[in-house]
Amino acid sequence: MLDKIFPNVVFNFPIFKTAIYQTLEMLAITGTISFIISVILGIILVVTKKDGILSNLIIWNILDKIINLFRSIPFIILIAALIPLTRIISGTAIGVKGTIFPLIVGIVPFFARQIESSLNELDEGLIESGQVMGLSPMQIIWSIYLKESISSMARVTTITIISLVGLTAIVGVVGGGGIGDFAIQYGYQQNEQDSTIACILVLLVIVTIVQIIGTLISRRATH
Amino acid sequence: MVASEIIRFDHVSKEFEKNDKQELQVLKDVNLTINEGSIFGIIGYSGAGKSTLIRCINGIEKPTTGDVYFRDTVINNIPNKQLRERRKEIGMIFQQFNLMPSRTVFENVALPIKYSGLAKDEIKAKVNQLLELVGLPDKLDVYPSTLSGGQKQRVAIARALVNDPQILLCDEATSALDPQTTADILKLLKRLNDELGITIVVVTHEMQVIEDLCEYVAVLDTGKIVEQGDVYSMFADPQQELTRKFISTTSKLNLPDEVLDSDLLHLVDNQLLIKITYVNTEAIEPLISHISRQFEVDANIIVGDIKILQQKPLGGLVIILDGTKANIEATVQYINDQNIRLEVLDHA
Ligand SMILES: Nc1ncnc2c1ncn2[C@@H]1O[C@H](COP(=O)(O)OP(=O)(O)O)[C@@H](O)[C@H]1O
Ligand SMILES: [Mg+2]
Repeated sequence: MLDKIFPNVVFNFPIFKTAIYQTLEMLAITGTISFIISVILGIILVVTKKDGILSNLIIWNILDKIINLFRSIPFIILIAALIPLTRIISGTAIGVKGTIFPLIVGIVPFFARQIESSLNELDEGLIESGQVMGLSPMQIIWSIYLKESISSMARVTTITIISLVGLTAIVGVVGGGGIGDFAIQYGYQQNEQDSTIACILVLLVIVTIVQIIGTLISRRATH
Repeated sequence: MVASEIIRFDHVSKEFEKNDKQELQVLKDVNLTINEGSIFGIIGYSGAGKSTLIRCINGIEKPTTGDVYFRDTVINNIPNKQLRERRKEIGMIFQQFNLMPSRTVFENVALPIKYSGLAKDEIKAKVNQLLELVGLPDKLDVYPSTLSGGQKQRVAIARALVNDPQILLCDEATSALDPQTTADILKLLKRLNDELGITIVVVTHEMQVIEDLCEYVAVLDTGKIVEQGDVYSMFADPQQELTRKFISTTSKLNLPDEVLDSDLLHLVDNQLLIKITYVNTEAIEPLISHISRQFEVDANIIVGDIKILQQKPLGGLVIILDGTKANIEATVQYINDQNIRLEVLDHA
């Protein structure tokens, strides 16, 4: 039955499986690394802003401008521009290994802004009450900023991971591997409709699972 | 016992930079002394600078000029780390309670001592004892969103007390609560002052809070303290127009403007409508009969009220005096001589 609907996918099944695996690998690695970097950047933005708990407008301005700069570059151009740097950092500019660095650079500016707005949403009064308790800036970051925005950070992380799924498909174009690569090679270049549809279905499943997990975490953290 | 000072504002001014580079002067040469163990109120309209003033006490705001002393420490002039240590001696509660939504009541109260190095069971004992003190011993494991406003403020009070502070700052702590809950919270604050000897500083725009809770009060008018003193004297003999306005908000002796305007009282030529405020409540009946006898002036009491402030009674009467012009003048003179505050409200 499956070989009737998806003849080419079944024929290329080992390659398709590898492509799925590669996409999941890219998502897991870049997702984790960019989450950590973005949370750190988001926190720096929030604490160094005017009236922040460690206000430092020089740091804030520099970071703010850099993030805006990177956000204004279309991802496909960014990949090309980063190739020399990617070679130095990852040792290669192709394959899954070559995609990690551009994916991180591509997603972190967006992600950091999302985290920043999550943290900024927090009631000022909560931060102030941390200060009047005599908590240190690190303690306020940990026990109030992060703890109190788990729910909204889960929401923005979901949005970001879903965007990241899109980016992993784009890097396929430049030979990065994964589902995007598979869709281009088989679905587009060899005109196998069923391969394209299979890719869409897999992406749909991934996005749905991410969405469900995100919603669950967000709901659990809301009291 | 001589009261010793715990907080002192010494020529404190505060300016904020506005967007258009102009300075907004929020506090103007504020001088105050708050004694240890007292309950000190600061009243003013919204925007008067109350929050800014009270936040100078725990160094959340820093004066542009002048100094704020916490005992011998100039609080606006110590390194951050030291300031954080001092803040543990100064609890604070807010109008919006500011409880952490994702922490239970227990975790909220425990937050200030989370990093103190106290053992788990010590923290537990401390938190339990405080929740008992504020009257919420059975709410340990619930989240703040399930509590009423009054309960939230009780949790906030317990949290503010967990470091055993010497001072409790209350920024409009009852302004979001209904009158009954307000009364309960004020009672609790008073009890804490009695039982723990903790100094309490409240800022509010409600005179009722000052009347029910405070021993001393300062009136703040757009950044300037226009009048300060003990609450009883201020109610008995307010000096400033603004103070009188605030006092009238809790007075039962206010005749509505409609009554005065519409001539409902039918004042005729030889009548005078006055309000008197007096300290010696026992002497007032003899005074009234004395007036009638000596000056042949009838005194018709329209409204009367006695307030108990700082355990002392303060009386007030609105009276129509009826008699000849000369006799009424003599009566007014006589009342003034008795050191009784007299205001003429209306005449025909
Ligand atoms: N951080 C700030 N920056 C600029 N202006 C401020 C700041 N904080 C307060 N103000 C201004 O100072 C004035 C007094 O504010 P505040 O102390 O909050 O008054 P209150 O608590 O009596 O309502 C207001 O006009 C307010 O807009
Ligand atoms: Mg205020």
